[in-house]
Amino acid sequence: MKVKGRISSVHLFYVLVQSVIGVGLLSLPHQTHQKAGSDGWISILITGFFIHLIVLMIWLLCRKFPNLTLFDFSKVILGKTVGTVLNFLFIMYLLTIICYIFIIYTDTLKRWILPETPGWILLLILFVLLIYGSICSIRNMLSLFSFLFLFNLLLFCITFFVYKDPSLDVRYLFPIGSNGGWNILRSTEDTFVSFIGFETLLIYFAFMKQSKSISALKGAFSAIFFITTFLMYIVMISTVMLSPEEMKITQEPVLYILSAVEIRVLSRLDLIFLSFWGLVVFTTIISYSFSASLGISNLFRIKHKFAVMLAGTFVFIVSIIFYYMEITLIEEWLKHISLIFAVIIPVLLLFITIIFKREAASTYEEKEN
Amino acid sequence: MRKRKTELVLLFFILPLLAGCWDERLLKNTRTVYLSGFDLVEEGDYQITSILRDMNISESSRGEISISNKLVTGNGSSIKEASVTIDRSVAGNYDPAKGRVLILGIDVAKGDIYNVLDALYRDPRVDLNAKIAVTDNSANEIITHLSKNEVEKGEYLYELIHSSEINSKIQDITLRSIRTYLFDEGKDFMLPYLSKDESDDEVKINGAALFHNNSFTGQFLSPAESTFLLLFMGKQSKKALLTERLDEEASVSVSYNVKNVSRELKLKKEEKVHADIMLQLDVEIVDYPPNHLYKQEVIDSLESQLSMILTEKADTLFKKLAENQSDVLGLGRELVAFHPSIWKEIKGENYYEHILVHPKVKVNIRNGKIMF
Repeated sequence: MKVKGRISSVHLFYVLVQSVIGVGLLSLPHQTHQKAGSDGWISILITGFFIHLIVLMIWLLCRKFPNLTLFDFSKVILGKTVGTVLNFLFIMYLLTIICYIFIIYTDTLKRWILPETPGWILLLILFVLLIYGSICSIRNMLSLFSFLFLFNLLLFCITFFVYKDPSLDVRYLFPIGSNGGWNILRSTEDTFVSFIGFETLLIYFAFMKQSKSISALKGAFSAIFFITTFLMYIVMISTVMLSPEEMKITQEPVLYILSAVEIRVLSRLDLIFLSFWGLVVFTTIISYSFSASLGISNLFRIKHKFAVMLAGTFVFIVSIIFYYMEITLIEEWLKHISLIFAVIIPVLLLFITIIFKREAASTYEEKEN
Repeated sequence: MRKRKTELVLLFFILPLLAGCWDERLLKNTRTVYLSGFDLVEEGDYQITSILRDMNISESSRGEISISNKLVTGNGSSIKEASVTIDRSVAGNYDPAKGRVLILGIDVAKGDIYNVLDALYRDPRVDLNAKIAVTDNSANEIITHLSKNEVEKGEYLYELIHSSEINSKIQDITLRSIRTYLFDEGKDFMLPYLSKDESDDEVKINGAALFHNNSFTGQFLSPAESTFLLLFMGKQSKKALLTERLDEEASVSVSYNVKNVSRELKLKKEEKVHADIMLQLDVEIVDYPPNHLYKQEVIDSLESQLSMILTEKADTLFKKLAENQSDVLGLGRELVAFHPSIWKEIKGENYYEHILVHPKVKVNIRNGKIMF
């Protein structure tokens, strides 16, 4: 099934940035600090570099199958049965990520601004937004994403207000590398989680006008570069603002810092940051649910519209169960499953393709036969 | 048309979902706190004293707003328990987090002040921009005094502290930034030191209270000393006015405003850690009656005179800091950041006793005013 709809590399940039930057942003400085201490930004840099490599591999894989998404070419590479199983697992993975985002988003909102609001209301709002945002063609999604990219920049700009704080101390970044190379490397497994979202490229490359040309790669690379810089900046600014011991007890350093900022007419900038951040998280959800619905409609041979409904309902029910039973299973396993689905599977697929010389053309031959 | 209808129906379904209705906090139900003070009373209990502000909108005189203040106190073995005690005694919700200024009584300040502040940080609604001050007496007394005399109460104290910060009389510290200092092993801080002036019956800032680790040392710096120390830290505001007496007999004084500071810090380890600080001040003269500042010799001699006086003053200042082991300058952090090997040898609670500071000040006179 060849996909329709053509996107340029600029669009790919927007989609990728919006898919990656999301829910992990707020607690990222706290998480990197646990292992890498003040060198958290280095481990972000290293992770960013590795993601570039993985994106390159995904591109190499996808350029063999122009206009085919993962859900199609997996069957070509692995055969029909195994491919279908993989597709199913991949859909489950995408849906799990959405559940995770739902839960973290609700939890953060409840802790920071809406302590009295019942959790299911917030989940329901997300559910409605998910349905509303994903029942559309990729073009509609793109115009939404390129508009909402503005809010990413606004998030960036809000942090400028922090600089006038007199307790800012650049010395907290020094001595560089004091936590040892091993700890910094080990911390990359935590920072990796905030980069997930790039695996949606397995789907989006299919929509590219010229996915074979190098310009497709350029769009993806510049997006990853932007994300790395953005996350690094967020980690650095939090490290500079908070003393090391303080960072250990602050769950959302970015919000905590912003809640103290006061400009002439506004105080509590964290509330503004949170509402922008909500939009950014929203785009991540749409991107994931769009990809998942593509897979579902492919798997069950139903219309995209119904696939979105199915995905949304599934996510809503699971996240409500997990939220109220306080199951933290996803958070613990996310690191591992995202590593499997975002890194190991694409790389394996690439190797199989190269070794067994699978190509898009072979599908049609099979069909003809 | 049908599509439009379904859209409308959908809208109605979305309407009740608008969150926030659960979290509305009506002004009429809460009691706004403008000023809170914390004291230690017998048996290790904490006492909170607060001024609540009520706004009464009267029906009769065309909605005119009248403001009344109420003084409340409550005891408890923790800060939270004490505020619950107050909550029981006032109508509406008592919310100590909203205070613009927090006053620490001397007994509280001499202990670990984080014990008092912890409850505040756990509240997401707390105003992290609140100012913190230490008194030479109990906080209760200062607040009682304020509630009788000043109309603006909390605002008055806030403005008092704020204007001192603008004039570089005290370090700019808020509830947020103090937490950074409290958790920093290589840095101490100073807080405004309030006291009641008996002669004219007013609350004043007497200087800056020196802290060591998390507790008040009992010593404080005069406003001039504190300004000088802020210059060493490079944390002065736009205005940093100082006055020196040049000649005791002729009573010649010079006042100057520091425009620019450049600091050079060298740390080396011998028997002790020696910190050589070279401070260059670019100043503009704002008050110097003998004048003749158009002559280069006069400027030169004034510069050298000022440099000498200030170097001497810096010596006494750092002796005072060493006595109290108060590392307001943040030398410990400097060691952590740039000399980790030295830091490893001396780190601990009282690392500051291993550090000897040798300050040197050089003054450059710049002309930035309309006359020489």
